[in-house]
Amino acid sequence: MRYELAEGELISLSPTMPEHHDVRDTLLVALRNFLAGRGLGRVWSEQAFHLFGDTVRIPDIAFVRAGRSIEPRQLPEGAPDLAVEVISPSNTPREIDRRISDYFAAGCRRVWLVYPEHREVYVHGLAGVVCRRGDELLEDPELIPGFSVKASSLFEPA
Amino acid sequence: MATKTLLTVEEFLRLPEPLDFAYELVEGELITVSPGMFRHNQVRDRLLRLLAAFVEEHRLGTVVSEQSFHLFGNTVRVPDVAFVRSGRTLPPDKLPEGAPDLAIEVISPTNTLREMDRRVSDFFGAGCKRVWLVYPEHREIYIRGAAIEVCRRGDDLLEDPELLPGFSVKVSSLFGDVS
Repeated sequence: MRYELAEGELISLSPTMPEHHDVRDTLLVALRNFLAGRGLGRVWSEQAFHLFGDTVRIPDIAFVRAGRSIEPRQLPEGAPDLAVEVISPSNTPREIDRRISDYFAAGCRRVWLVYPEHREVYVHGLAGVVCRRGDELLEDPELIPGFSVKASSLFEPA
Repeated sequence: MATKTLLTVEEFLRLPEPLDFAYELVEGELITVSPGMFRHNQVRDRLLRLLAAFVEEHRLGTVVSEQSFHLFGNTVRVPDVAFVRSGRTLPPDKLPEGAPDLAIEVISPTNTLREMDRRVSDFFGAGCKRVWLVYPEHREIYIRGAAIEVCRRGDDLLEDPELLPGFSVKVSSLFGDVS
């Protein structure tokens, strides 16, 4: 059982299903392969971040830009630059809104919400939200220049 | 297997107006929006009154509730409360084109995450600047589209210096006495 801390409140994370893992790991592998040797930054899955105060969150995937020092054996301080959450049917709007708000408050710039059931990704930035589906490209020229995958590729069977 | 029937906006506008629910059109697909329950409506109406009074007094624009907006293509959405800045003329007897500048959605327990994400992304896609997501059950408001802290609760002030200069209310006052 994994836990998060939200302003001192202990939150247990429900076990995730195979579909969640398939989608998460497909994106993780794509990001890792792209980032290898490029010096743009690093990516982890299920890494806890001490966002602020008594709040610790565990994004499904976290990307941190190069130049930030992350200690290998300590809980990272602050937010990743990009956080990815693969949505499960049990996630509620407010739960996710609170999570996004925590990430942004701690300095995160972008949150991707991935919906395996609908094969869509909603990119949440500080200026708004856009949807990517089908052949539309998932990119972030500012945070991860050059990275580009079709939204549909996340949902292809392994 | 049933195929989805897609409607154009023109066909959508010709549908008989339902009495106790609303229709939205999402990329041609007809969606029914259930009427909110008491708590939803109470908070919505309170926001409507507060914003309308302020906006009218300062001549900032127009505030409406349950108004349909033709966002783009075959997508028509009905935000709970909408603010349109002055300078934009809304045709008195036609569906407004484009998004309001601020859209407010009061969340009901039946709203799903993806439904709200899609709705919010539709608003931004059509040029909306800000979306407020209001959770009466948790007495919180989440602001989307501004580069500021996004959750407001308790004694936090609900403000928007850019869209609503001078407007300021404590979040808790919006939910006070809400059942």
